[in-house]
Amino acid sequence: MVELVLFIIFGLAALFGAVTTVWARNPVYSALGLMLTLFSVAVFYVSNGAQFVAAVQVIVYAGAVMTLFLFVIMLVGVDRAEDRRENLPVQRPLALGLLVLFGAGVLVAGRFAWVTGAEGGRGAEGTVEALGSELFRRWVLPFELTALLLIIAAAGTVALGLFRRGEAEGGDEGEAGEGEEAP
Amino acid sequence: MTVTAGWYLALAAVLFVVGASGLLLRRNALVMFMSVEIMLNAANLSFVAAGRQLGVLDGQAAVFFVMVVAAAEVVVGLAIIVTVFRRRATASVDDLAGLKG
Amino acid sequence: MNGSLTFLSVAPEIALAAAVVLLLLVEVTFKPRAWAWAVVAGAGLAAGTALSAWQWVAHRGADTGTFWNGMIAVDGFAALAGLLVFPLAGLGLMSAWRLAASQGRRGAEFIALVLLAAAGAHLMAAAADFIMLFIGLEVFSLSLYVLAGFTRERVDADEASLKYFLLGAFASAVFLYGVALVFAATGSTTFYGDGGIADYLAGTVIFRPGVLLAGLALLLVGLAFKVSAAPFHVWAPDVYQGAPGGVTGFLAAAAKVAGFAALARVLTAVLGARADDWVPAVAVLAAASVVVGTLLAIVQDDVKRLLAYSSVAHAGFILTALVAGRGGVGDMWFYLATYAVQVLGAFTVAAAVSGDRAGRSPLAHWAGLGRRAPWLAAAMTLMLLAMAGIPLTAGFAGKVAVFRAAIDAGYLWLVIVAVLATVAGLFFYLRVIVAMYLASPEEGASLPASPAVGWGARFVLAVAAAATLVFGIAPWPLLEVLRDALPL
Repeated sequence: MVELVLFIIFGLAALFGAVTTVWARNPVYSALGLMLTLFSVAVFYVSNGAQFVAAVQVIVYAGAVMTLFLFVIMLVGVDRAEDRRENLPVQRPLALGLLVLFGAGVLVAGRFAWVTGAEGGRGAEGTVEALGSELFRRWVLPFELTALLLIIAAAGTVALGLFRRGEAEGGDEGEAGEGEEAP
Repeated sequence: MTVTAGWYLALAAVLFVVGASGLLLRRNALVMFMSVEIMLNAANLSFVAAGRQLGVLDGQAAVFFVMVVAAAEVVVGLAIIVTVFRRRATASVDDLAGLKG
Repeated sequence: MNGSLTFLSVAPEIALAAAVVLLLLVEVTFKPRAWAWAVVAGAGLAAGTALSAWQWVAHRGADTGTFWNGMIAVDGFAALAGLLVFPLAGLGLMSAWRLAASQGRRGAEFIALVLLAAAGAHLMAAAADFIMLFIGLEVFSLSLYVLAGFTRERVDADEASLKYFLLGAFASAVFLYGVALVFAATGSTTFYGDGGIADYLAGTVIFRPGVLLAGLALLLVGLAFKVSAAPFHVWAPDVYQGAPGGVTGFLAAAAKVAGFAALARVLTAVLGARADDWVPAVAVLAAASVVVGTLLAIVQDDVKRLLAYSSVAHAGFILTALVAGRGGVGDMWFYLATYAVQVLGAFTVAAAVSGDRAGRSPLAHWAGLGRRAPWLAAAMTLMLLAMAGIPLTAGFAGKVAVFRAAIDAGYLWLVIVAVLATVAGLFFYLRVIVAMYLASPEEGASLPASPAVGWGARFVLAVAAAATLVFGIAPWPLLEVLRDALPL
């Protein structure tokens, strides 16, 4: 019963957040909507017995990642209204239609059976101990390989962020000029 | 009424579609990227819910790795967006029309 | 599955990661000259290649297995991917050497990212678990996003990088949701072994396969984005045109190799039991790619865009081999290996003609190249003829191989479409050749300074030309060898 109430409340919250993210004109509202979605998903993690993952979701995702997002939004500036005129008259509605069809198809398929794998494992209580021993035994290789990702994040950001002097302004040589000036 | 894993999986499917439609509808690089994050979260929710019904922790381990990947992706992605911004003062993808043909 | 193999099973990755860390540490500590980078990168890639060769000798055919609790596979497939990707990264670095050296201290990061991309590509081929595959995919893709925008002398490079990033992140998310649905449907993310996906699908009849099929479709879409198969190719032309000339070759070659390696293992080995579901979809993707790539290439006026659309068509040809399922994997490798070398060679010439850092390469730049730089023009001609599928080049042998595989699988209509597209494709390849030999530069047109070709680029072109001719004239030994490059 409690789970049902939680599902209804936070399910609506997650959807509202997602739609806000997609639809809000102001990127700050988008970010706040995304935060709401992330938090609601964290609640669902808890109700599915994934406590550790829920904590990571709140701390890393809703915390660190979203802070980074908001920071960049503030840096890039939010005051410019977005132009929503359609410049791909056919492809985009077509892709949207296919997407909605796909979503409906998945929901219909899911009504019959979502989970068709062999059930009856040893339980999925995601406490820190349980998940920790799983991560460091069975998943130790991918765990180590995430180090590569962190190297890329560091090296890539340095490579992208390292501006040589005088490069930031007017290094374009006038090539590819259209759209250069923001109205 | 008990909330089964199917409910969460259905919600995740809807979230996935909303996120993907954001990528198709919006032209702001930051908002598009946030839509991708919604899609990743939909996948994560599916992993956890399916793992619960299957009675295995694999789903939660997968979510853990997806979060690491997403964090690295956010760092690189925002670095690229900031680089573009420094040169053009816009985050709109439609203003990037130098390449066409 | 003796314990001693556990670290040897990921030895190529360890070698490359060690080279990357060494490179970055040496760079910040000693600030060495550029040749020191070359030594470290070369050592890492050579070690990776040698270890893959050892895996190939020792662990194909019967003596294969998965390691680290079913996370990584050591088999002919993975070993061959290493034997292809690591030398390709080496050639890509040689081709991009002038670009990397011109970037000042950032050059070390450039080289580190190429090495990491190579490691990611090999991981994608060797992964025996969807989560491993996802991590490999991201290691590979994130490196390439940064490489695509490496020069900031130009706006287009940023643009290429941003487009590549947004669509790539979207494709990754689609792929991941596919993994989640397959996990729900089969109860596992691991490919092989007891309770693995292949085992489960082979042993169980799923009465309600809707979720499984949706997951399968998403996996296919996500990977089709990575290999730029139509209609998921929209990023390729912009990225190839915008990325700095020196990088584009590696970008194009590596993305194809890594994407198809992952696709082939997932489809033929893991989802082999559901072949009836995915083979028609792959056939449609192949036909769409061949037709769309060829038709759009015809109207291009920029050689790099033209090569990008031609790469879409080639994705279609390679997919044609996969409709034959497991029997087509050897043919896929042949086409993939020879095409990767050709496309690297072609973009190396483009970088020489239009400049290492330049994005665009309009056809006007190529006018009269046959007189200005006869060797470059000859190399480009050979690459273009091979891509067009002229006999006595590797491109022809590859096309014959994939067409035969598709006919054996009963997909005659697909082969007819592909043959028609091959004929139509001759037109745009010949257009570039005509421009090089018959057109003369317009009066007063601002051509880039006379093509400068570094030693690295010369070596790349020599290797590409030799490989194209040798495997074009005598493809059988290689085709025979590649029969062993099957996934577990």
